[in-house]
Amino acid sequence: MLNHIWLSFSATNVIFQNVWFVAAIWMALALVASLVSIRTGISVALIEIFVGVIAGNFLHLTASNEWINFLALLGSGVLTFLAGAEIDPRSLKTNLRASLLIGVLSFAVPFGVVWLFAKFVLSWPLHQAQIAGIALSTTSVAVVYPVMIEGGFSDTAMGKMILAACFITDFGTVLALGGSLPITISGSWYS
Amino acid sequence: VIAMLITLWFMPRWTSAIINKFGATRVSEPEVKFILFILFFLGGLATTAKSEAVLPAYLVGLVVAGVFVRDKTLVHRMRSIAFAVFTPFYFIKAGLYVSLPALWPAFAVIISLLLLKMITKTVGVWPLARTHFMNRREASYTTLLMATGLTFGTISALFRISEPHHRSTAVHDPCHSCHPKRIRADADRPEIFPTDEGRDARLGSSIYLRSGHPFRGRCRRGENS
Repeated sequence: MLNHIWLSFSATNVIFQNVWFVAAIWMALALVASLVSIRTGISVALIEIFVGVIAGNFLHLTASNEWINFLALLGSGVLTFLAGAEIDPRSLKTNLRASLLIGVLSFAVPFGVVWLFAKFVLSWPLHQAQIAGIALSTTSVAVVYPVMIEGGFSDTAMGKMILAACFITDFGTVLALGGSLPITISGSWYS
Repeated sequence: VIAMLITLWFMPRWTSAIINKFGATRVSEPEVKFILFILFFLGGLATTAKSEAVLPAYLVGLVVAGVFVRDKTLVHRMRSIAFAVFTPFYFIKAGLYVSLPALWPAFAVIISLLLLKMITKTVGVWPLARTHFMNRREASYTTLLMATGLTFGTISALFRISEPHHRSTAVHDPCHSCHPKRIRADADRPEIFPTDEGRDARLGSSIYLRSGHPFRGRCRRGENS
């Protein structure tokens, strides 16, 4: 009996195939990340990304399971929802001009400059350069939001203004992606 | 789009009706389930329309924000569910995409793009933030926060990978990035964005720590109060 248990434990395959062990490993990583985050004062989101980098490169952990991808998907959805829910409609109205201006410029300036840089300095093809511009012009609500809560800014006017501006920036990203994708597919991107 | 607009229009009324009718203390948590249901449903609609599920999620959050201002317990519950169960998977997975061996050959490109992003974000955000906040530190903080980009950055990057013609298996192959053409392709792969992400936002928090802001432990106190 004991021998059998030992054998099944010694085979790492078994561990990586058992859904409970996989969940345990991921939760352990998340726990370590939150402990480190409390110790260092750095946002837990960033520590988790860093832990992921280490786990991926040194422990050879992969997100091969369907359910991990699903949970990650839910994570991004719920997090974005919460970030949206932090924006008080009244303070958005009072700060609308500032948020709009910051949001639009924070999208447009990096998008234009990175696109031109990728096109002319790195001489990438047009669509790759466009995608690079779009990708680098975004602002991460998912990263900004935890940082805001940890810093205690989510209830302040400044925090709400930043979240609203992030939203406008991301809206620009979505519009740009919607605009560039059809061209990309019909164009000669992969040739 | 029409279904989404209708749902968004009625969402605040439905949510507050559910909270008022059942109270916010039931064990079966009807209000949390209701919000998750709406989120998943609209996410389904959005992905069917070839858009991203994150966008309606943000809009739903925006429309129920008024209800949430009155009912803080619901926010705290949703937050604990999200931060305990869902987001670790999201962030750790984002980290997993970073392939260090693939990173080194394209290092100069990454650094130059990161610098460019920081500079352009600063140009776009800092002067405006300065005129609106009238505080140098807050403006810098805003700029650094606005210079992060994980969610939509990865989505934009994944737009390339998710295309069926693309060899997405090459992500963890150290050799693929040695080829000059590959290095170019690497730049819009997700391995770059989480790193760039990590770097600039970590910068943000370290600046705060240095300037003596009581960053540490505030979350805990805020949550308990």
